[in-house]
Amino acid sequence: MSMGKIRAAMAASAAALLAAACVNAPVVPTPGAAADAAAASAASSRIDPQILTAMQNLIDNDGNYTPTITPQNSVPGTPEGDLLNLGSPAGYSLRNHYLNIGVPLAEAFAANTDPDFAKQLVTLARWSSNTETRADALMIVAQRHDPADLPIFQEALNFIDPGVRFAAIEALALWQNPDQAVPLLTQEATSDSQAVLRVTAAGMLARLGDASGLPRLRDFLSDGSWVVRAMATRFLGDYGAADDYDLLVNRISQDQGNDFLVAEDCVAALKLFPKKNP
Amino acid sequence: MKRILAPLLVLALASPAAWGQGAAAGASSGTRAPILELQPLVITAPRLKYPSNVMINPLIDMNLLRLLSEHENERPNATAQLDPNLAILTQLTTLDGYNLQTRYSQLGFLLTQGLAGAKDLQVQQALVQAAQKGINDQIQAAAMIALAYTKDPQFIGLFMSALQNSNITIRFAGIESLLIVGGDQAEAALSNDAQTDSSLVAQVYAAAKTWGMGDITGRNIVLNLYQNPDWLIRAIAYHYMGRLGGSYEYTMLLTQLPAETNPIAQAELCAALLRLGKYRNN
Repeated sequence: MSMGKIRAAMAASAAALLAAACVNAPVVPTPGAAADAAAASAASSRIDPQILTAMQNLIDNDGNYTPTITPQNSVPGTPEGDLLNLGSPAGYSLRNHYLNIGVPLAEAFAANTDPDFAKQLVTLARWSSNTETRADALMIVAQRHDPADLPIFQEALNFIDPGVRFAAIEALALWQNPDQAVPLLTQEATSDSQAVLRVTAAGMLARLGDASGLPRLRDFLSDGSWVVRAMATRFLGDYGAADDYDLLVNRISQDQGNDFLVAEDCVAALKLFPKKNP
Repeated sequence: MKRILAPLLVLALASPAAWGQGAAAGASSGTRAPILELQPLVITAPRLKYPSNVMINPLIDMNLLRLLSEHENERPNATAQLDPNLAILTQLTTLDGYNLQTRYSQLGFLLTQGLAGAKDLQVQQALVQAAQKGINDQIQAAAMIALAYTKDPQFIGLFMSALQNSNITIRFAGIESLLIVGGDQAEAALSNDAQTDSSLVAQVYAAAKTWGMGDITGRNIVLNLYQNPDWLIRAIAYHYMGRLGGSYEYTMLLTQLPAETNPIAQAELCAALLRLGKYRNN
């Protein structure tokens, strides 16, 4: 069948589906219609028990979850095959969203305002055996901005799995308790066993405005790993000073052997340009 | 179109700016805390912050354009792949962790960010060339998105023609480019693509975006896809129903809950229902 015929068939199919939808669904002009929203404001805020049960099942079973979409099992032309072939920012975003359960689960965690779940979240952040669940829970706990949650992050930073430590580093930057977060991030930036986590911690120190952050990031530009150098460059682009512009432009020539580094140098320099020429 | 153009680096979970993004979010209800929103992987276009007469260091443009025309494929070269820290990135499971994996495995993402919104005519010509005859489809996609950020209507024809391409990478980049450019012509093209694209992923995405613009046809397409046999299509439909829907969508999704068996789709369905919870009993 030619592409034109396929498209025509799809159009006819879509038209039929649309007709069916118009019968089944009430016509609502646009999202968040005023009357709907007004009625909603008076509605109960309690969560349907079915939803809480489904969430509990997800939590109970996510240790058994294995990714559904892999290059090996995805057929070109199927939705899963299409997803793997997307190559623009929104496409990458869809891929990151659906290739693993972590992001949808985090969104579900974040949206759950049930008081009992809030208590369970702490347990998940401390004890979940699944990295994605624990990482997600840490990020949500950080959003409470409660200084009493410090031990939760300390425990996570001492955990063996780098995925959990990375989440804890991110969480500390979101926690909004810089006096307690900075010493922990400083420790991570100095002594984590993984360079990727050390440079991330340095980046978070810079993000929080700690004076040690930028010098540490500049030091990471000499690291033996191009990934670490690229991450340091990226952080400098976001949080660096005007003088870092020249530093990064000069690195473009030095980094010619690695296309990703050259691109990151260029992007970071572009970000810093307004600081250099206010 | 509502896009969050917060810094890409900013951490995955909501900064204050990312709270309550949904069209149906609880800001008006007064009964619930704002819902956290994960930040999408969007690019920031540093050039958009510059005055129109500013001169970019030619070394920067020269190198970005060289990469656009020469980089053989999206991946790091053989030497770069030996770096053990690439393997560490694959163990990071937060959204920012996944984004890091994308950033250092798909060169097109960095090139898009570096070239987005370029006003220099020579750069724009090179981008048009790359969009039409790029070394691979990812580079073509990167060039299209970079051009889209100029918001110049002269490129709409290029993006619309991409919608006719048989390659999903290029078609989806065309959709994304039209969303960035906006305007009546782009919206009409997107609405048409939502009804005719041969990829269900492209259909449901374009439909959801046009729904977000107020297009009832987009809503109807999403409502017809939320029970699709493919879990991925269901999950994407749930996602947007949770953000754009009201009491009808809440009821439909709650009815769907016992039937959903895919864990990712279940998580998406739960998140959507929780977002729409204020419509319960309406």
